[in-house]
Amino acid sequence: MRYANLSALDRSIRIVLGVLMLAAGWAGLATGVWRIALQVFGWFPLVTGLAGWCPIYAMLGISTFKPRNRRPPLL
Amino acid sequence: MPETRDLRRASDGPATLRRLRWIALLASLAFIVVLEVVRSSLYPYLPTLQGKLLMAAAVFIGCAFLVGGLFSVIQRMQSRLELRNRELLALHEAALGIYGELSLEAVLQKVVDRACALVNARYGALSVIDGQDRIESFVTSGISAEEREKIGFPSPHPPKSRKTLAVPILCKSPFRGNLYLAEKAEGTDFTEEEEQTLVRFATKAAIAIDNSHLHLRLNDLAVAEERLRIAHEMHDGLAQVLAYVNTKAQAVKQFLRTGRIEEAEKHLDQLAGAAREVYADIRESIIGLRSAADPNRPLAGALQGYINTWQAHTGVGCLLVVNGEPRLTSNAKLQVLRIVQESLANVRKHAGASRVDVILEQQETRLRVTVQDDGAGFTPGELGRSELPRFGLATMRERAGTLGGTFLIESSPGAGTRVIIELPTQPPPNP
Repeated sequence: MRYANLSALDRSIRIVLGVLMLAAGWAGLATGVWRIALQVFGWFPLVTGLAGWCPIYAMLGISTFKPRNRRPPLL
Repeated sequence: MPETRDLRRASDGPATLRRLRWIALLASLAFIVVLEVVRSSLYPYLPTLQGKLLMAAAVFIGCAFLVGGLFSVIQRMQSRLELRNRELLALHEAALGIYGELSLEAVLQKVVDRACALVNARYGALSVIDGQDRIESFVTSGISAEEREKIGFPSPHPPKSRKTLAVPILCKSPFRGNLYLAEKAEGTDFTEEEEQTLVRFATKAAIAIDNSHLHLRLNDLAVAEERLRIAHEMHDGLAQVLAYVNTKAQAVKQFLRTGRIEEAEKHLDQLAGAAREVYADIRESIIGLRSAADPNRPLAGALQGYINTWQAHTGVGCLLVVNGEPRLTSNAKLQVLRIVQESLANVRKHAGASRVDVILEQQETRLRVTVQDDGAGFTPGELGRSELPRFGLATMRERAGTLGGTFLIESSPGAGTRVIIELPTQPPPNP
């Protein structure tokens, strides 16, 4: 991924966190404004985890991404 | 083909900008939609502090996506431009380094040294492949021949890891070879960009190797031309004299048959004179050939050697004055030597001089060679066409012309003769 700035671990954590937040929000484990918050903001870690790119990291110049060496055809 | 890939990369800029425009447009729309969805979800709680904070957080995250996305694309474009600039500058400096050399061995060594520096590799090798597709020799950098034998670098098989790069060097000249680099100094693998940089460098290396071959051929051609010129001169001189000798011999035979001894003796004296003249010419030519035998000998040294011998044979005093070391190629040195030899031959044959000076003056970008004598002189405009070949003026002018120089002759009866040649030379070396 050309714009990736999240490592595999970072992405996994975000996806799990996002799913948990959304599940908690939709399952009614929280009430009131916090329920809305979980339902809305749970998408942020899920989407960034799936995309492998975090806009906050990009603006702060942080990257946890480790590129795998690709092997182009040799001469 | 590297050129096609390079063109595609060069056109990435406009494509990325188009992408950026679409990202800005769609991201802005998405931002508005998401914000509206969040606002309508949080609507009942908006008057509360938590509601306001959550709304602010949603706006912040939306802006972060928008700005962060645009920022990432621009940053990537910037990084690629900087990387490309650095690459091109390093490539340009590496190429300049190899273009300065003319000898093939020096070019090959510089190619492998510069390639290692370009991609920061520890070891480099350049294989030279002969006509039967066998590896004739290796030029290495960062590794001795014994170490190379021990570790088997480079392997004859294609490299299987990114820790070794191999590119072919494709020349127009007969040279064929492969360039191998191994072990980046940082211990990481070579990147695709570095491989592309090396391919571009190999193209420039091929040009430098072709240049070296052309220079070698030029030298060979110059030597062949020189031999041909000498052969023509000897033929012209000798043929005329031998024809003269034959005619005189026939005449002497006739005179002896008819008992005219005195006239026969006169003709025999003329024959002896002609033989002495041609002997002196041939001896001068042989000395001249010997003086030019070593192309690595400095011009001043070769001239001094020739002048010493010429002085001993002719008895005419000759002084060599050198102001500054002449900066000439081997072919130019040979031509200057021949012009001076021809001028001295004219002094011997026609000037009747008691003294001649040969002056070499190396100026900033020109070499001035002057041969001046205190002999009989002549009126240059009055030389007939049939006399020009005897003086070799056309040949001298032609020699100076092939070097991009000028030839001038100044003379007047009773005031000696001055031959002046000016040639462009290599600039002085940097301090």
